[in-house]
Amino acid sequence: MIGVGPSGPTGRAAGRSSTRASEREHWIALSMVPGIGPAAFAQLLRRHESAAAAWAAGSAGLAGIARLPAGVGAAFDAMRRQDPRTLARQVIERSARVDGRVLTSHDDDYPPALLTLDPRPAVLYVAGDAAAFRERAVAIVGTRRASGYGLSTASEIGADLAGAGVVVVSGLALGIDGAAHRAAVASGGRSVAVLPSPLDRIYPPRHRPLARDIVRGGGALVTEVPIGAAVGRPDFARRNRVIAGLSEAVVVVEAPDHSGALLTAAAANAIGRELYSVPGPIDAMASRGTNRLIADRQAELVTSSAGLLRQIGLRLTAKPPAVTSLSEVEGQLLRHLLERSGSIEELMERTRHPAAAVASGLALLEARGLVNSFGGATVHPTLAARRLAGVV
Amino acid sequence: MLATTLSASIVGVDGVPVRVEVDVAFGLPGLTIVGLAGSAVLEARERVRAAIRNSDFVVPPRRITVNLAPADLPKEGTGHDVAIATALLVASEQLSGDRLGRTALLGELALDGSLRPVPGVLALVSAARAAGAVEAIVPCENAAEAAAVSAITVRAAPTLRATVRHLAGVEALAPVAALVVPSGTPTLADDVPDLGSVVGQPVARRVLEIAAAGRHNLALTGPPGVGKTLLARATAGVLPPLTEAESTEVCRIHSVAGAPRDGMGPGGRRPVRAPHHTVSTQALVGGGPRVRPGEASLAHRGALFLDETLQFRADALDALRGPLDAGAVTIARVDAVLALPARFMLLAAYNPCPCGWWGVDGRECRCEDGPRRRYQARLSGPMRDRIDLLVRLDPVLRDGSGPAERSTVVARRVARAWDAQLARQGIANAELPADDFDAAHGFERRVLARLEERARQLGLSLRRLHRAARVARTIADLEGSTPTLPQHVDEALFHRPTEAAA
Repeated sequence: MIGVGPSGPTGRAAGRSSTRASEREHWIALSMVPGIGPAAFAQLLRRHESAAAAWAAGSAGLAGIARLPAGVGAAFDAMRRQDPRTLARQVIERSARVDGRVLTSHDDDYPPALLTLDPRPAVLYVAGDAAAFRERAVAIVGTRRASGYGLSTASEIGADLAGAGVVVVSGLALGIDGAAHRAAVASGGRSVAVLPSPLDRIYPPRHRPLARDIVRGGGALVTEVPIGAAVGRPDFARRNRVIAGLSEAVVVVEAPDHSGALLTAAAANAIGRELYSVPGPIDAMASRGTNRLIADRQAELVTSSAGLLRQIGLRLTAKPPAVTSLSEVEGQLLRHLLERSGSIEELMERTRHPAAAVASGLALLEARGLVNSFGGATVHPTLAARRLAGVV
Repeated sequence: MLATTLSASIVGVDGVPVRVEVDVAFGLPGLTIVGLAGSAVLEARERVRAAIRNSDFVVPPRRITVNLAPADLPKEGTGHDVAIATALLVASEQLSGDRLGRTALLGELALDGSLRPVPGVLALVSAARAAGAVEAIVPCENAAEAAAVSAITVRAAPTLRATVRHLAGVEALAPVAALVVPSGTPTLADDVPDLGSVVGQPVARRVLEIAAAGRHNLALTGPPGVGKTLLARATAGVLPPLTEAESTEVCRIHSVAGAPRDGMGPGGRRPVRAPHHTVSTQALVGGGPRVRPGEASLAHRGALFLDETLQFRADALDALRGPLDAGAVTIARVDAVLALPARFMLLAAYNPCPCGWWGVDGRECRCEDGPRRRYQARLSGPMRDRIDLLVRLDPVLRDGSGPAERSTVVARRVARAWDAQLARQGIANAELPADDFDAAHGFERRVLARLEERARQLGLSLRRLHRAARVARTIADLEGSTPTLPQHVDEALFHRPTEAAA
């Protein structure tokens, strides 16, 4: 076993060092100390042999632990005034109230993929079906300020992966993350959302309905942040590492310079996950980060959703969508869109049809799920449209 | 002795007849006005005294009581001056009251005895007619406006003296003839841009033509400089002409508000109001201690253009929900609930985010997420629900193929579609109740089936569905089609407002 120390929360050391609280409860309580992350937790276990011993040692036992933020000792001692059993029980009960569970890295349901990490999250808070962690998983991440192209691509890859039985992992953020989750759930697949916030404060609030749909669809919500943690900035860095850790591959769909998605990409490289990047136009600010990943040979180039699936050893299980006959105008519009996405004005120019005909044609294509404008001016063909045309 | 004259007061935008009773009795000399008179009415005391004296009559040194009936109705303004002065002259036996019974007296008095105009004469004269008056004497400046009321003889009086001479039968005031407003397509006002000057934007043109034809609420959004404001203002230039009934309603409101009514006769131009985004809620929807029509009522039967819609105060925008649904602003007071007509077409124009480039492919939005979302949330869900048509303008400028169509050409098509609506149902398609989505209104079974199918496919609310049905009906009217066709539904749905992807 790497990184966790000689004993687990149910290990031999427990009975020896504590008579009043079990090792599991000490383990949970210790993981809740603000400022003690996975790395510090692992070092403490190595030094004290058990969470109970580390708890008993208090702030004095923190000496020499690398990169601890200031004030951790004081916070630790403040917490130690309470019974670790009470602390653990409280967080377990409060999690249960939002249908969540507390998983230590020694519990059976703890995601196996995370066991390969060093250090790994000592405790996870999970809502939904833990079985989702035992299937093949691929992460799709990207910018919150996504373009229609990005959203369309994220949806397509998300739907394809879900269709092939792969769990789609992402961070529940607005933009690319949301599109990927949504596509996976919509095509009947499982999705796992890694939150930067506690289970009872789903972030961003606008995605609460999406989070509910993910759980209903047999997926799960995961976070390292305990319920009741002091309100602060959502912890995106730790979240990104978990996203990469849960997945065998990470696909960055669209990311400008300095995007948080690039941190997930860096985490994927650091922990040895495959990294894929979707290219964008060279003049698109929103794609500068993804293009850079490809140029620097940090990520594999994604040329199509099907190509990506082949690269990770999967095959499309596409069934041709059931679409009734399209009229001549609709067919024309779809052909033009498959060639290149465009606004309704561009389509008018390309097809030489009046606004009325193009608008009603596009509405029909939208209603049949063949095009989507994502609330913008540009209309994109969907995965179903590509399948229909045999492009994929 | 007691004398009674007839006057009228404004409540909301309606006139209410008021009987002015004056009693002259022995007692300490003085003039008292009772009957819930506001401060402007109370000051009539001084104006009436001076005007009578300066018209070579006398104010008797007696105890004079003026009662304004109904006594429980709050009265405002200066329009009762002439009625009070005349009643006083009759009560003090300086004038015979024979002709007073069926004559309404309206107007403010200057100290020299001349008559000054008052707002809302249209509504005042209508109220007098309803109270049984066959003749109304109004200040000269109000004469043309008052003459628009039918079935009552309107006479214009320059002074109190002329009024008295007329009533005494010495020298009759000539009746004022109703002004004839030339009908036909109104010409464009100077401040309304011509669609011919708008480059490109074929889709926006098409959608604003649909909106104008059925009076549907229209929103234009897009980055700065694409012509949102220009297009919205041009929409005003293609609205169908006012019908006679509409013209009466519009003129009455503008008259009460003291706003100009130029060109608002039958067949005339619909009012287009463009309040600045700093407008207060009260100025926008009306109200205040003296209830006055707001911009929403002044836009009645016309359009309310909110440029930079999202910069308006949230409470002001929210206050528009009522009129957008009910076609009227309801103002509840301690003593009464007033309904000011406000059935307007909403023209909204706004940037998609504070910097203006959100959602424009190939361009970078520079806004922080928080401020951007707060900005976008200013158009609340309920307001978004009430927008029928939304156009996202593309920043790419293209040379149109040939010169663009001029407003007069579009206006002709719009007027034809408007005539079809009037002939079928007498009201604009935007006002068509959902109960009327039947064969008689051009909704056959197959188009209703298409509506239901799309509602299921696109997850539309019932309200959205009804709005799309009305827009589809307008598209059919523009094409001169008696039945609404499935493709009309689809075009209407394509332009429905959708939430930008999160």
